[in-house]
Amino acid sequence: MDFLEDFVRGFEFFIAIFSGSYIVIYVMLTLLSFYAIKKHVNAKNFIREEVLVNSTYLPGVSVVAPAFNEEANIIFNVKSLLSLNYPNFEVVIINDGSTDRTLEKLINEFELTKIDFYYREHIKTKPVRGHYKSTNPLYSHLLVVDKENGGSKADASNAGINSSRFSLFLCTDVDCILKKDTIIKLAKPFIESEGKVIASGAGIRIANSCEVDEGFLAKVHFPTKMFPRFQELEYIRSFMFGRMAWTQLNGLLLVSGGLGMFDKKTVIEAGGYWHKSLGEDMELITRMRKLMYNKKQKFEIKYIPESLCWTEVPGNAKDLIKQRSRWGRGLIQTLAMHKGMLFNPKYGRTGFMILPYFLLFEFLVPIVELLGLIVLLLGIFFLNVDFVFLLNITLFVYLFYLTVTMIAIFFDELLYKNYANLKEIGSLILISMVEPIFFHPINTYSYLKGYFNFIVNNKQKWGTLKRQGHTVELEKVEA
Amino acid sequence: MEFIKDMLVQYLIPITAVAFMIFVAVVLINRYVYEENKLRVEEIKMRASEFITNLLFVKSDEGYGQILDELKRELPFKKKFVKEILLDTLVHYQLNLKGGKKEMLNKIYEDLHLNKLSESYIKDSRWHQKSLGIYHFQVFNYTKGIELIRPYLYHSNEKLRSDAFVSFLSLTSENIEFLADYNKKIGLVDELKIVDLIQSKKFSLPSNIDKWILSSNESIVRIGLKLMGFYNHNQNAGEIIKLLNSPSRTIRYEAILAIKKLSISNAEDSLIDLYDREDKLNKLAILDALSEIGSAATVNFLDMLLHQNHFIDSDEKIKIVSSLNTIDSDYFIANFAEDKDIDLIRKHVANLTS
Repeated sequence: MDFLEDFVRGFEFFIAIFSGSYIVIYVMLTLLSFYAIKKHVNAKNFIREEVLVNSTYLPGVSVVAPAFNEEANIIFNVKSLLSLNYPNFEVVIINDGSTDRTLEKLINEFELTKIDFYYREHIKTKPVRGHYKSTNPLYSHLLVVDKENGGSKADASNAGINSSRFSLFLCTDVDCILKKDTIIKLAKPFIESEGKVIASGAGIRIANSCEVDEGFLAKVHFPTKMFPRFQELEYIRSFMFGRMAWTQLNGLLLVSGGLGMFDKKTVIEAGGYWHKSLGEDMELITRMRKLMYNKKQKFEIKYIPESLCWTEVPGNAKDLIKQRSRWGRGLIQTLAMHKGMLFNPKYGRTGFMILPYFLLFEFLVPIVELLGLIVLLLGIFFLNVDFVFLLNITLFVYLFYLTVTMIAIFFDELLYKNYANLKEIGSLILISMVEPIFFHPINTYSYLKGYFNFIVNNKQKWGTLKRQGHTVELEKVEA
Repeated sequence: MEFIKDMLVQYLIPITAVAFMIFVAVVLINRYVYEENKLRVEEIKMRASEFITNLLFVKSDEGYGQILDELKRELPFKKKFVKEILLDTLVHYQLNLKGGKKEMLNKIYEDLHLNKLSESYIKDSRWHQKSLGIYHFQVFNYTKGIELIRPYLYHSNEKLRSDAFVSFLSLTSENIEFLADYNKKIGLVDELKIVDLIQSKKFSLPSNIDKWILSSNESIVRIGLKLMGFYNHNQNAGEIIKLLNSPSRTIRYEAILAIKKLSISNAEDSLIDLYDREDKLNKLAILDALSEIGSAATVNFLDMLLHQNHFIDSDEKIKIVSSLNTIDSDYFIANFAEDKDIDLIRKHVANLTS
């Protein structure tokens, strides 16, 4: 019993230190995020986008979007991508061996014909079966790549990168709805910065209840279902808060696979997306950082605090658990793969600040929470637990969590007023109060499941989200 | 332990609870106020737009005056937010209309005394507000405000200095010849802004443009080359060719682009000589320029490059085939009929450019 008591006391001490550091870091991130957002807003008129869009000196951009069994929405989605506003771009759709009519629909709608294409495999992928271009000049910006299924988005994206012709590429999912000015906003950091920018990203929002009309976002709504609502909160916190703070420190380790612009040369040199990774976006950025350090070349990764992309997220617990365990596995996989960078002076702030943060406050948190639960149960059954203290500390953590969330909502509201009315804001605030109780445990469980799968080396699967479809489109079908 | 317990109960829990409630209140109040005003603001925006449209198309001075009076009467004109709405509407029109209406918008800007609002922005202590005011002066060609801008030409804030510089250029009645001697650093973005400005304002080509491309300031050289290309000014072809020997990669790049734009055919040999010493970006630009000005010498050169096949980067190879195809499309039939790789590149290029 003495041993158990010592263990519990030791754990309490560890938790006190761990939580204390966590809180201090979050306060620092809040301040940094505020500063970065203010800086961005103040500078937004420095070079006006209309000047850039009219300039003939802009770099070309390839929009790379893999599609697997997307026959339901592929036409609308491609039209939406083709309507982006930028003077010099192409849309590269990769049909990743779809077993439905995705390719057929593309061929028919866009009058595609198979062309002779000088394909260069800068990054190794599953065999490419052919390239298609439209005979209709209206769709001259469109290139469709047909390839064998590689079992991962990474493999498809790599084939798209190999086929792209411009020096910058924007990686997205074919079902993502992008704002018309997405390319110019993401390209702006590459043009503006004096240093070498290797990637840029922006905010992603949830499209589950938004009104979508033929691939175009008609009206933004707060999700009506519980799980997308929780994720909406998570996205606001992550994009408005965490990533802004990290961009201020030039410490971004994640540019989302749903929306990110990259310097093609650097990506190819780094080896492209790793097809075996389950967190391929984070893994690629880590590898690009490593490459730049190895080349002793200064670089920047920029994040823009604007929502430019809307995507559908898991609508139920089952899909969510699948997605998050994949993320969890991706996280541990990336950290394990690049463990040599940790505290290695060669890798500067990545080795001494960013990766340790991810190790301690992203990877370790679910494990600490599980241990906390075990220790609590042991305490309740075998020791005298001070329930008043337990209640107080829980209340404090809960309130701190809520405050951080509210600050993120405050930034978002102040800048963008994304929601339709006061009622939606009210719902968002209410949902933030139950999120730590209902959603967070599911998230923690999913990550732990991902870690477990990694350790026992369960066969990895590329999860495909069962699309619920967007409101308007569903209504149209029903009508 | 007791200390932590006391801290929790007496400070940490109350502070976080209050912070949470304050943020909830601020978010809700902010949204409530926004929604309360939204309809009114939308209505004012609509009316402002109507008034400005009427002012733009009114035929007589008398009618113009009447509409102005009506606008001031109907809208709560003294309120700052109304002036801001009017200003935003005017800027929007100014950026989207062409011809004589632009001058009319400048007149409305002054007649509504919105220049005073822009002035107040310039006098604000925050740099981004100053920049906004300066931008208004530029958009509405408010030359009377130029003296308010002048002090910021040497401001320590680089972004403010840049905005002031571009606006000053836009408003000054002085010729832009003085830029030939400008020795401050100009960022890449500023170069774009300046070129955009010179092109949109239709400045005449500076009479001393030959001095620009000899400047010790790399940015001025690059801007000068861009302007020569834009104005089809090929009287300084010799100097442009000499710039191919500049130690600056970006100047050489800009010179290559100018050679292409101005079709300076006697640069062919220099470009061919330069090719091997350049990086990939400049090599591609050279190939592009050679496709425009190339003769038999270029065909021989490109043929030689293709025969060194395995040393060539694939992007360069595509460009070589493309350039050769542009200069002499029959050349491949005669010389590379059996080369499947090159045949595929030819088809590839044809498909992508068709």
